[in-house]
Amino acid sequence: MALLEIRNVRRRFGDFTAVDNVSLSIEAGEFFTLLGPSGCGKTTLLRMIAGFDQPDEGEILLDGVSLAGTPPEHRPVHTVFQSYALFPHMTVAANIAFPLKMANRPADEIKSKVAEALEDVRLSEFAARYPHELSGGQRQRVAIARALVNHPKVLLLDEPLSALDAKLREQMQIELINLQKEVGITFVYVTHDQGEALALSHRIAVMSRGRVEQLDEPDKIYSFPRNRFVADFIGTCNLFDGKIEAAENGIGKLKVEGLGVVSLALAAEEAKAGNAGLLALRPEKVKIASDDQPGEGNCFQGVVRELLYLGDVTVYAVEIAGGVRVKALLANFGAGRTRFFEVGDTVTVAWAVDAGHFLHE
Amino acid sequence: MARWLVSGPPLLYLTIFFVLPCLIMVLASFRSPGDYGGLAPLHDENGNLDLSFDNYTRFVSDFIYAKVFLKSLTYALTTTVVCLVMAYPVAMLIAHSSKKYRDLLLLLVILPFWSNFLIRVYAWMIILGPQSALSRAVNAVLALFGMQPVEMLFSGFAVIVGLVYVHLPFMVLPLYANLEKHDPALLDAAQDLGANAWRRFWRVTFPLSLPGVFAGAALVFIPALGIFAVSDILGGTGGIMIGNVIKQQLLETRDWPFGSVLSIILTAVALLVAGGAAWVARPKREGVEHV
Repeated sequence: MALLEIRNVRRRFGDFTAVDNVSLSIEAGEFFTLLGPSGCGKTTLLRMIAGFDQPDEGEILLDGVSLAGTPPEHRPVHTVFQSYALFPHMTVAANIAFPLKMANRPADEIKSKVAEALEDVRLSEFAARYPHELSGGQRQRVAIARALVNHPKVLLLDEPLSALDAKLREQMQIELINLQKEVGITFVYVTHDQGEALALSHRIAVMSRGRVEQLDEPDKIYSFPRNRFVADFIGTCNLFDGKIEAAENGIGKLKVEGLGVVSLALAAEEAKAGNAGLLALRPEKVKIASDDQPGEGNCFQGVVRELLYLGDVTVYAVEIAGGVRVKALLANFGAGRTRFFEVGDTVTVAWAVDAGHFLHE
Repeated sequence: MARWLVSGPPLLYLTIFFVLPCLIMVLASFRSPGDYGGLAPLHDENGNLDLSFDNYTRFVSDFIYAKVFLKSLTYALTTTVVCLVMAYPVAMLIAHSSKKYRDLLLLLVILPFWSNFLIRVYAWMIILGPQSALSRAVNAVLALFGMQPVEMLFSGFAVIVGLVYVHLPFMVLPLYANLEKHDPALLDAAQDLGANAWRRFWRVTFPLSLPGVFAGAALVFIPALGIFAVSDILGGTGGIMIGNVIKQQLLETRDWPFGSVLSIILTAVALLVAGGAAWVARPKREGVEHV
């Protein structure tokens, strides 16, 4: 039995359906992420788990017991808010002690638990400070310590790292992973940053317009996106609309308008002539070279139209004769040169037959 | 140089029309009253400087004046507390209202100021007077329990009612200004961490509102302490406050030195109390003993 069960939950605001018949099972000890663009319903769903909002239909169960009718203050679920919401008139220690005081724990227990929590987030010397005297990262850690100190069954995190700069965010991500492993509490994390979701989670639920588009482990979400939305949202992806012309021995010929005929490894059920679908191809699987190499797999000649220099790699957009642009990712190593190709160069792009992935819409 | 051009005129104004009169009053408190009121000449018939502590000793030895002072303090304090209790829910209501109602509600709070202060106080004479509907209703209820009818007007009670009525907006507005700025996420966080509505109020909302509470209390207590119009109109003989005594000394008895003494002592007491309250109610810091 899963720790947190969300069954057929629906939430409407007037005409707008924020959460549309979502069902999820979240296991104990899992780092579970709700990922999606703004307005996809992830925050609404989180608020319903916390108790600040009620589902119009469906139910939410914790340890098999429905949470309906239980107000937030009685749920063993705590939230780390996006703005941290630390009490400005209380010290760091008093902030962390707050949930324990609300649970009417004895004073000496509170003292020792607070000291322990401060050590866990490495803020022991800051116990007597006030929130306005702390940096963003430190406030972040106090917010997390406060929500974890009385061991809730589930910790909800609402985009907690969005206010931090890139470097600090990376550090906090690693800290969060370690903290979650150490404490073993189930985390339900909400973010719109797909890189963050891939880095932190055991499983990701990709959401769009109130529905779960795909629920899977990060590597499966990345390598085997189930539809156009997921393929496009996670990382960069080449997406080509095409129709299967012929299929034989597990290899299909996909006619892509503006590109040509692409050879693609297909599963048996997909390998039917006439099937229309999407070819999803990650740029790192596309090789780019200046010579006309007769290669294995698919080869197309084109001109570099755009490039995006990212320091360690460069992403090239190569325009093929038919008009379609193919994105190729190339590492920037090479003695003396920072880039291999310039805009306007004629190049050949190639990828293996099994590099791409066939999707239905 | 330009700075002095800007601050100069107001400073000059304050010096001439505020500081100087205060100094005159301080000097007057050491002089003797004139034969027909006012002040006696600074130098008496023999050419000696006629200054003494006589007026101050009179204040200390004649206990009645201290009694009136104490009563004024009590009235002012009661007014402040009643205003706080009444204004807090109103301020919270306005702070939580949607934008369109908020402006209307604030207007309603300020509206009384559009009419004359004295007329509003006189209105209470009618409301509390023996012929009023309220009086008759109250006395009818009392008669049911076999008790004597009471006269609400011309009593300490009427003075407090008048004081609260007049000062209430001064408590509502600073409280509202403070409450309006509270981050609603703080209450969400408190609730999320286990606090019910009662605890959310006393542990988050009220401590954060203390600066507003103090500001409102200062705006009510200090004026209420020195008021004389309300107690004059509604108080009768039973509701005399120190403001009335000062007015009487300066305008009727025309014992200016003694009136000055009372004024100076009133100012000193108000400053003392206001300063003490400010120190006590500085933004509350809640800590926990840590290892």
